[in-house]
Amino acid sequence: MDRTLSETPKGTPVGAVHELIERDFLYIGGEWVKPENGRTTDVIYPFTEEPIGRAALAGPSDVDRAVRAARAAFDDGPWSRTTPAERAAILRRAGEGIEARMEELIRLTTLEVGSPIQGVGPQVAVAKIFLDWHADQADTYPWEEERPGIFSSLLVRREPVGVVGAIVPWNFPLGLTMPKLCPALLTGCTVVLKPPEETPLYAFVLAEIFEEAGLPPGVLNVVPADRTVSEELVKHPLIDKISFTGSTHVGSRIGSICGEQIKRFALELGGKSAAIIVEDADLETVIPKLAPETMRNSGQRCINQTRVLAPRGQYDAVVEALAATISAFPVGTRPNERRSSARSSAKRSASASRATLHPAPNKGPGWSSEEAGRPTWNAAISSSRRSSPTSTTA
Amino acid sequence: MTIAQEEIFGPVVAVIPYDGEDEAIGIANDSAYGLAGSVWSADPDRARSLARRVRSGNMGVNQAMLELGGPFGGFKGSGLGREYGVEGIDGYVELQQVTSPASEPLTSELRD
Repeated sequence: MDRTLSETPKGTPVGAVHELIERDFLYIGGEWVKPENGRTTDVIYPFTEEPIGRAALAGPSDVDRAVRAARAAFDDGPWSRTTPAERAAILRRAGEGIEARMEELIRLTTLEVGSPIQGVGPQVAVAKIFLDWHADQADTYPWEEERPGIFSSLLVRREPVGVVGAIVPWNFPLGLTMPKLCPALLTGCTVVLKPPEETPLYAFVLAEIFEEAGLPPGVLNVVPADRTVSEELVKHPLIDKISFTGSTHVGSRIGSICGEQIKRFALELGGKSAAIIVEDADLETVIPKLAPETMRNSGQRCINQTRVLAPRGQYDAVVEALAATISAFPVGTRPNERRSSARSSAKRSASASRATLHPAPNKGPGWSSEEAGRPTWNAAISSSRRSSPTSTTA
Repeated sequence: MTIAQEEIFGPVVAVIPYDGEDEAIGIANDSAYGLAGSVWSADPDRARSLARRVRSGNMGVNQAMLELGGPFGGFKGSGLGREYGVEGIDGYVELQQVTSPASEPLTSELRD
């Protein structure tokens, strides 16, 4: 039975959502298992904060079980002893699985992340492209190199790093899972995937896709978890490598833990990227291309060009053009409409940035100017999940 | 200023004036982060020269998009390690050297 989400505060209906998506089982060791104490978390459509589903949430014993399943799958095989070509074949089949369930994944990601839909379609399409690209590398990657040594005959081999804990953020959950999962599986690693507790639903679909593609039990395990339980994954002695994408604050914590244990780790963290406009640039060409890159995914993208550097002589022209372009960005609520800005999970992002914001609710949308030496803001990001696009002079 | 230094993770952009290329590079690099960036110019060679001076892992010239076939990652506080590209695969392997006396050359098992 269809259920219609209520009107948003702006009076715009978001449209019908099918029955609540219920995912009460974790994927561990090739089996769908209840989490300890049957824990679940509500998954919401962030724009209205209405529930769209429910997902199993792992506790410490579930994480331990998942790590042990991955460890056994790595140590006892067969996955870590298959050939690159055999693993590539599984990746390709998973890519076909993504393609077959593309509409479902797009809809799911749009709903649970609240992303503008035009960014979600490419994210899902790229997942398949990325699987195929990695499968292609099986033939060319230098798995073993014969080299003349200085004193000996030398073979340089590349062995899988082992059991990987992959921790993924909520802003591009599928998109940021693939650059961990694809190389890990191609090289023969096994994986405990910890999707974000806010947006875990995509990961269950991914597990089903890999299961159907013939991935052996225990090679991929899916355990959504909160931060406290996630730390159990980071600390777990049977994990060989942690790959984390998220905030610099949490990344630093993960690095400390891994450092103590001589555990391998990779961190993809925050940014404050500068776009330098050179004085010979044609603003009419540049601004329409640059403006969307300053705040894609409602500003919730690590590589957004959040500082625009303008030659002083053209400063006013840049601010004016940027403000005009950004003011025209559509801000919407319908899961299926094109828009630039939909969600700000401000509860998280504001606390992560530790930014002090000064709301100026009487200002119109668009941009705000410096007043009395302090910036003013037209979007009270700290108090609302819905943020209007804002530019500011600094 | 907070807005020009910290990651806000919302739809907010700071516009900062500069005098001359050196100051532009100075401002771009005055950050605890080094993840991405871009240079926009009618002269791509000039833009590329500027891009090389920014301490950041991912620079665009007249665009600001990632090439997923190449290594992606951050300088400075933006991270450690690289994802995507062949270098992204390198992150999931341990290197092992197997040796034998120079008179007994080793050959790969994977070689046909």
